[in-house]
Amino acid sequence: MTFVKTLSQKAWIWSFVGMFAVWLATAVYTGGKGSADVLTAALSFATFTVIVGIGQMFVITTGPGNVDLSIPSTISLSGAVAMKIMDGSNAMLAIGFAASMGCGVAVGIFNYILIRVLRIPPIIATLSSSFLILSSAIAYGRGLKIKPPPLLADFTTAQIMGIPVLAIVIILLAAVMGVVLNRTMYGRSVLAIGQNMRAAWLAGINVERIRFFTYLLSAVLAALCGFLLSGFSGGASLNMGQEYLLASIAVVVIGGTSVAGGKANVAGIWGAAMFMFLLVTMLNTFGASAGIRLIMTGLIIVAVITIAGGDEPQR
Amino acid sequence: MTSTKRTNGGTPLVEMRDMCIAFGGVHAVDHVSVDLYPGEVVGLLGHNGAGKSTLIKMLSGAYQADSGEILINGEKADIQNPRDARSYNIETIYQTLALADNLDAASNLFLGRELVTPLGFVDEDAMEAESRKIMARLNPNFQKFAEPVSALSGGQRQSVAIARAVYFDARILIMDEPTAALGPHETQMVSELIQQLKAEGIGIFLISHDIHDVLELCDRASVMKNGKLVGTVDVDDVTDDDLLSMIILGKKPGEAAA
Ligand SMILES: Nc1ncnc2c1ncn2[C@@H]1O[C@H](COP(=O)(O)OP(=O)(O)OP(=O)(O)O)[C@@H](O)[C@H]1O
Ligand SMILES: [Mg+2]
Repeated sequence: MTFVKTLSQKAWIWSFVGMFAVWLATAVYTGGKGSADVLTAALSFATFTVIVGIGQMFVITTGPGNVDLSIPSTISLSGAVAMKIMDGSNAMLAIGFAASMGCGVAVGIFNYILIRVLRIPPIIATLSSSFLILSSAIAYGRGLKIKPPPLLADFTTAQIMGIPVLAIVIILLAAVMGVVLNRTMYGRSVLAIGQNMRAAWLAGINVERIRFFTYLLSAVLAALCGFLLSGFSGGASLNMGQEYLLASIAVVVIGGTSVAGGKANVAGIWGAAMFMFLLVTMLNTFGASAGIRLIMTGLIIVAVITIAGGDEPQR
Repeated sequence: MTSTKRTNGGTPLVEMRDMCIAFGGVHAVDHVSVDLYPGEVVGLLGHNGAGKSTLIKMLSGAYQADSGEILINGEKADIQNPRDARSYNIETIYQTLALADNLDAASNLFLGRELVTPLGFVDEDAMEAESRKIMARLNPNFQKFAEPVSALSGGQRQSVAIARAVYFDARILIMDEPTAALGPHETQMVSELIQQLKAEGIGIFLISHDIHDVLELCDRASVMKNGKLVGTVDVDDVTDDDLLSMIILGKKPGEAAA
């Protein structure tokens, strides 16, 4: 009983509960037909949301006002640059990957400069940089119709017994990032800064260095997402990152990370990303329109923030 | 009649010379000089808003002085932030405690200086074991090691802040009203701790509103009023009434008599 009670107090549990509920509802409606395929698809698509969700989670955890809105454009830039450099050749895979990571590092540094040197609030800084990044992608992206190298396409779409290989890799990545969050000095510092920036600074934490690494991490993960996503979807496109603006924030919040900062959960991101995909699938199965789907997503985010925020002020 | 401790000390551990800091138009600390010798406890007294916390925050790195200089062991020290202060082995218990609310006692104790395993991962077990050891000295009733500090009482939080400052072998310890939220028993333990640290040769700045505590624990007392230093006296030379009149009237005993 106490076990169930402790479990139910963990905010992230609810994303998994929601995920199974939605999946079951869909399965019941369709009489169980294709339920396994739906899960495979959910894993495939959730993978990309999880990659950017992890970066966004670290950013949001550093405290109120911190959010990375440049994730979508970084995805597009990274995808476009990688596709153009690799030009469909397996031999160029490593160089394309390096270029993609380079995009992420550059964006991360640029975002941090705007925030730190120009003292622009992160929400404005990352929004304005996203316009610049997207313009670069447009200027650069003459060759957007290029197909990914076969090796990358195969890797990003490979499955073992219905489980996408990439999903397994990203589950491992999430596990590693969970360790980084809870068991490294960097992760501890992120949590402490999000809870009480002044206290963290007084305790001798190099707050600015931690924030820099966090924005860098988010941009690099967005670049990784762009690289893998263009392999998965047969090439890059300028709006390929679009849906990840809302999604990256939604999975963080639904996954049990506090929007007020200082409290984070990596596992919940996976649950939330699966939940979001399965929710859309369910609504599609039920024949709901795109408008209804958006409204539902919005309502769920508001509900989660309300419920999760409700148990905060217990001083 | 200077204290023997003072003359025997040679170079002071800390000298703060002619410190000034203003916020907007308010001169929170106005040309104040204080010093501290090894194994000495110097009390800082004064009304609310006299500038005591602001003065020590310039030593702890929390504030940057507008002017004045700080000498540690006779050498000019450059303290730009709390990390610099730590490099001089200055530890501080802030009046506001400065804890990270969702982290537990051990995580707060080691915040920014976590114990790590050989592989570089934060070693929670070791941190908790060390926390239990230090807490046994400070507040043996303290048991809430696994709970976030937001769930602790004011006194328990204060114990965590004290433990954090004394754990890391400070040479200079700043205590800003360390016992304000503690019960009589815990306050007694902190008094014993102060005497023990003093015997180890640590220099302590103790901010307190309790004149009797100051008379009992301190060697000297510096009194501030409206950002200015009223004076510094040997506690053996003064009565509690003398100190009280310094705080209230802003005059040294001699001046009052004259
Ligand atoms: N960060 C700040 N910004 C503006 N004013 C400040 C700041 N810090 C201190 N002050 C002002 O400086 C003066 C001295 O404050 P300080 O906290 O040093 O007093 P104190 O002697 O520690 O008082 P208490 O006994 O209440 O703790 C006050 O007038 C206070 O309002
Ligand atoms: Mg004070």
